[in-house]
Amino acid sequence: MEPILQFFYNLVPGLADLPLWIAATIVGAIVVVAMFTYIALFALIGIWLERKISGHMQDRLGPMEVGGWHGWAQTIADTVKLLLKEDIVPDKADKPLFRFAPILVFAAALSAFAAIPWSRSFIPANLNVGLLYILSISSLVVIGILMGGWASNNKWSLYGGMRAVAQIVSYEIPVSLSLIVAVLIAGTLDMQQIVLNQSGSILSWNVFRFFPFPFIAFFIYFIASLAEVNRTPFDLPEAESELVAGFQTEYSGMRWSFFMLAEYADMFVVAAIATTVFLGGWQAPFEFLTFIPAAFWFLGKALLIVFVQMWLRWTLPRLRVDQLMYTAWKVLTPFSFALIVFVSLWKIL
Amino acid sequence: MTGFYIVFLFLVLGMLIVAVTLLLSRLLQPRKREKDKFIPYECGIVPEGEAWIQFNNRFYVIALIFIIFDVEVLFLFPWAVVFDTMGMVAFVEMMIFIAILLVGLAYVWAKGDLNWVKPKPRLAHLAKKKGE
Amino acid sequence: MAALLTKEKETTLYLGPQHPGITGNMMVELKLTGDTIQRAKTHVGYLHRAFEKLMEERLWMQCFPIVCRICVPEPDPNEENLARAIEEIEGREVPERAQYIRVLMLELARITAYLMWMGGQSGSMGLYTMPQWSIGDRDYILDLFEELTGGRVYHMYIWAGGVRRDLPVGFKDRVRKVMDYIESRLVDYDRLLFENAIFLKRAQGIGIIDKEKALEWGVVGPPLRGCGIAHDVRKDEPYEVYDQLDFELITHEGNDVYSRAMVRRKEIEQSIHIIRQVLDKMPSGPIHNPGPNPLKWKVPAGDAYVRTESARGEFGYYVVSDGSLKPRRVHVRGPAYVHGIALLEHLLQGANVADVSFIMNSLGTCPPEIER
Repeated sequence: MEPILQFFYNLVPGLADLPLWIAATIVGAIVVVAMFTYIALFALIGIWLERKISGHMQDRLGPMEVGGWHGWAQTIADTVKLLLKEDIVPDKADKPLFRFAPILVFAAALSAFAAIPWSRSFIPANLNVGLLYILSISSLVVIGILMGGWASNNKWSLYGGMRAVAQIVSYEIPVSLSLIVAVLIAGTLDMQQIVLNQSGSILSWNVFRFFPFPFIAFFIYFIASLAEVNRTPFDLPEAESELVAGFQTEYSGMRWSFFMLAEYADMFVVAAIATTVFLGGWQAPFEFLTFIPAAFWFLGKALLIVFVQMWLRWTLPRLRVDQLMYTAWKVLTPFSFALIVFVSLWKIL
Repeated sequence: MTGFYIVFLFLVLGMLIVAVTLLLSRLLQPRKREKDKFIPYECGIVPEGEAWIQFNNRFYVIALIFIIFDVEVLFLFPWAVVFDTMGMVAFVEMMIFIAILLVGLAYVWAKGDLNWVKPKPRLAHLAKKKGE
Repeated sequence: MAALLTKEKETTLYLGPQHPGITGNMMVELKLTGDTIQRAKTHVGYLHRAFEKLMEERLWMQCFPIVCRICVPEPDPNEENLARAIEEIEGREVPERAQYIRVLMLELARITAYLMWMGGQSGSMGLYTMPQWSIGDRDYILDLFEELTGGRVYHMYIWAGGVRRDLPVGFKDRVRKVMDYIESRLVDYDRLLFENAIFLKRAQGIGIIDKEKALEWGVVGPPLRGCGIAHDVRKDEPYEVYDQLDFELITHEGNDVYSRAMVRRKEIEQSIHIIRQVLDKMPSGPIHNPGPNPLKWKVPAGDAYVRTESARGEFGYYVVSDGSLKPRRVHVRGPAYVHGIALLEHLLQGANVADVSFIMNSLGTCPPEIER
């Protein structure tokens, strides 16, 4: 029995009487809409927070006007504006590809949410290859970005798209390798099982077991995941002072905002993976804190990582392309290989 | 299998949600056709030529290396899962496998294909001086 | 590999006139293979306002508001140059207090220009906290300017024979306070930018000016001092009261973006040092040696070439008078003309497309000044 179905059967007993495929469709649709709502909310609050955080880091206030208290409605106003904005498809663009790119990017980002465990009973799809699934579905984003960059028929977009592909593809290796370190310890790819294997106190989280190897792996994962989601210092695909806006140069209105939404969704996904795989997922750090709901711990940990991502954005400049490739292939990849060897050696002995 | 069915729903409904939102935006937005608006942005200049250009093959080399390593990672995942039950055999075999790949990495590294072109200032008179 | 690389086609890419990374309205035409720039060509003309020609049709006094528009971040060296050129032709003496006030203005302006450059340099590599900080701090100096001259950016304060107004009461203390503040902020700047590992990685070895050719090309200011060549008009040919002030001539070896950055960074300290001395040593006395009624002001026939060290380098003015109410010719020799056109085209050869605005900012390119 799929845990999510069980979760809804407990909520609405009548569902259990329906045929399985109807029940699964209904539950699935509800979960998808819930996840979409969550992404939209997260982006709304996240963008507002990022503006406030950046404002205060930069000796200014950030949005203060819209909505009254500290400009809380600023992002909502922006969303309405984007919704009402004319959507321009350049004449010379490859129109079908141009239109499809944001759809693909967003759908891929949304689908990654399917295998993230929020609590013991709530995981949209309990796959036995959950981790691998998330890694592979989020790679689809690359295709969408390249599609958008190529279809725009704009040199800046093309450069941005090409850079994005080279960057994301290169950093996928250290991401996967550092996750393998954790998988070695957990012995499973099932996201829920990975979390359950870390139950106990904070010391049984994967970061602190087999110290210090997974700890280093966690940092490698964090750095590489920044590159995966195009955050500073790896925001080369949309580098403003170099490539205007990179692959999104020609996008406007709602299409552009779906790229933006997908970026924020991806930020959360990589933070959620880090939380699940390294930081004990929805587990409380200490036994006596288990009375606080699991979702709180999960969200707290993930949002903390998101905060660090934002923080870094305002303290680090951008790398150059050759330095980016250097970091991926000559620093992170060999190091994560070494970690795999060390951890497996430790387990053998 | 229900899990994969939900994943499928995620993909399909995700696309549907985006499409519906775009349609909504389409209904709400003004549409005024002006010729200049639909020219690709090139810093205020009328673009010269197509943007669909032949692109540097460095990307191709990186993609090739990526595929090799990604396939390797694909092998590593199941290995990592069954590592506990297989024990020494798995360890030795995977070390051989990783060693082979690391030799490959070292080879590409030594060949310089991992280097993105480093900016090299090319001053005409400096080159001449070296030639002398 | 190599064979494939040489076959690559060149792409033409226009960077500017509307590009977030460019320091003003100008265009750089890049011929690229992949990410590497093969050739670069600068195109200017988007900001041409014909200042030199305009001045030929204006009264001498009307020229002062025009010259300060030549350079937006640092207008004072222009006023200073025009004033000194006229004084040289007329043989008019400038009271000592006015000379000290001029030095005060010029050094404050140098700090504002460096703060603004710091913002541009970091913005060109995506570090957007720095511009907010440094331009925010620049505002404290602009407040001082506003109090003293009435204008925040364009001051029209230095004129022939002296300066326009005396220092307000308590102004010296406020300058000292702002200087103390800026000095304390330098620690933050160091930690955010000048000691930032990524900045070091990006800036070292990029945009190398050939030391032997630097003087031939006419490189001046921080880029020249960043080649380890000690050249500063303030030391070589002291004007106003610079010969009575103690300051160090900063040079830095390396010839690259980083050494230019370090020269500017250290010169901020030197400017603060100069300003403190000026405030201590400033004598009392008149601030202006008045000339004739501006409407009937005729400068005797003659010509003069004067030089001033601005934040971007040596600023030269050649002023010719035929004895009439209007100048016969005012020629401006700005540092950005050399840096932003010839030198930039040289330095961009072989550079990465990501470094265009990075190198451009390090040279202090200022399009309004290229085409005055």
